[in-house]
Amino acid sequence: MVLDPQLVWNGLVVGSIISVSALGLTLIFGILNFINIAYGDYMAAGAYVAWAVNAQAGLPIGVAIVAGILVMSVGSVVLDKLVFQHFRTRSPITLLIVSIGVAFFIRNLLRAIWGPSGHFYDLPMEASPSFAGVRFSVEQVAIIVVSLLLLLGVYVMLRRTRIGIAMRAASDDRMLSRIRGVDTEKLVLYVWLIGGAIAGLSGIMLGLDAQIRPNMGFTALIAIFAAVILGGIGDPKGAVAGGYFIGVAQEVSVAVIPSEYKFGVGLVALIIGLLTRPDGLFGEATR
Amino acid sequence: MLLELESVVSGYGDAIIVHGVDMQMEDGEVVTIIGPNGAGKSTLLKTVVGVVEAREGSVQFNGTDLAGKPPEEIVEYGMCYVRQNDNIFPNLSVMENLKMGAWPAEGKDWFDFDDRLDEVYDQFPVLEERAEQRAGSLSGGQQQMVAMGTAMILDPDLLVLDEPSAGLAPQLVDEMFEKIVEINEAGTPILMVEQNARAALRRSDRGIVLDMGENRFQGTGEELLDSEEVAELYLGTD
Repeated sequence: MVLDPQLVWNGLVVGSIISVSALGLTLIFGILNFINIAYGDYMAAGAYVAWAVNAQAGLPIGVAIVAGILVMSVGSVVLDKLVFQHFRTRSPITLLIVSIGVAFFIRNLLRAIWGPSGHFYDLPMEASPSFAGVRFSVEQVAIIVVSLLLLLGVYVMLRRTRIGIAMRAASDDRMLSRIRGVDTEKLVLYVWLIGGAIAGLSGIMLGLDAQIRPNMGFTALIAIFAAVILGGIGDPKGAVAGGYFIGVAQEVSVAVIPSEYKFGVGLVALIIGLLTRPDGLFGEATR
Repeated sequence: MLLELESVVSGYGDAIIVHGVDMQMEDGEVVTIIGPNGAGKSTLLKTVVGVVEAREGSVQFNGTDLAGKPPEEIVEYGMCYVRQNDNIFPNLSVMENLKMGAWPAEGKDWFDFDDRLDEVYDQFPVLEERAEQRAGSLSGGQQQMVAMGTAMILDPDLLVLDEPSAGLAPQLVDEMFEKIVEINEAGTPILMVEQNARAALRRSDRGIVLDMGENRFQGTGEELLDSEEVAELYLGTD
């Protein structure tokens, strides 16, 4: 079977979005040690904020993107202070269930404000050029480039900066990082700021590639979780690799199975990931 | 007085483990806490460094009461703690571990990381060889060196060690104790808990026997080693 380059390209676009969102999710998991089910809805909220600024307020898409990212960055911190902080010492399962509540709240808030139907960003109309038989849009190129820049930026932050090294340290062993003098509550603040910004950005990218709906982030969660688990939960590099793998596998599968089943590919990968990782979803990270 | 505990009470949840312990330690000393399993030795150390909260009593360190302060604050007073297990960041390189050790001092005028690094490398040459290696990939003995080096990078006023010889191969145990003596002779006071009680007391200025969460005996290392009662109850025969 020859891989259709168009499908591979589509897979790279989807994979970029999954990678970026999986990275944000795994960073939050690394420090806070719980699976934030509301993460997909943070993405949707970012997409809606940007849409409101762009299509409703009529501002350029660039301004809208920045607004969506900032609102979700600060919004994540606010949600932490309002909700998650009060459960900090509780078990990861308790936090997971709390995050399901937050997820429903955000999704229905979006539905209440902007309605259940889909929206599109107000973008300047441009022809879709094609290259070597692959048709691509300006947005798709932007998604791939911005994702790569972001992944590189986070990598450099985690490897080279004091805060980044402390984040990795706290992800290894939170109490030991406190013994070394790290104020982990401050670290949690930075992680929400960064993780929330990444959620907002990836939600906007998802909206640019498809359409904006209240359940867009929730639907994307399966692929994102599959990426996080495939890569080894809590491991940023793994999440990114898993993201591109799931994205490409999902899109390329369209050549052999009906496209409405393509999200099943993420599920199958998730099941295989869980079966082959004896430590499981809530086990120790194996890196 | 470097460290003075007064009626310290602490524990986990409903379980009180340390029932009112008093102890004093002078600057420059090596003090070892011994006692049977479950006597509360490790819990007492954890209380001193803030990992377990003191419920009652005071922990005076260089004239400041640290009782009730969290560990990230206590380390800023110059008390560095090496846990018994899991005392390194396995996914960080040796160098990154050392940088984490310097966290409270970063950017302070009195602190020069490169100077301290040279000194720690002198004390633990293996760290220089392995600087870029993932700490979790090192042997148990080397990991213990990483942990000690990470604590020493701050040039602490007090080094607190929980079972430094635990899990080490027999030939490494002696090496570890020699290291401890070396560090002390270079000017760092050490408070430690050791299962290897005889070996530790031989190298200690003073020893404290803890049993059932209370201190039973105090004395110089020799006094405890010579005491028949202590020998019979707590040292065993070796």
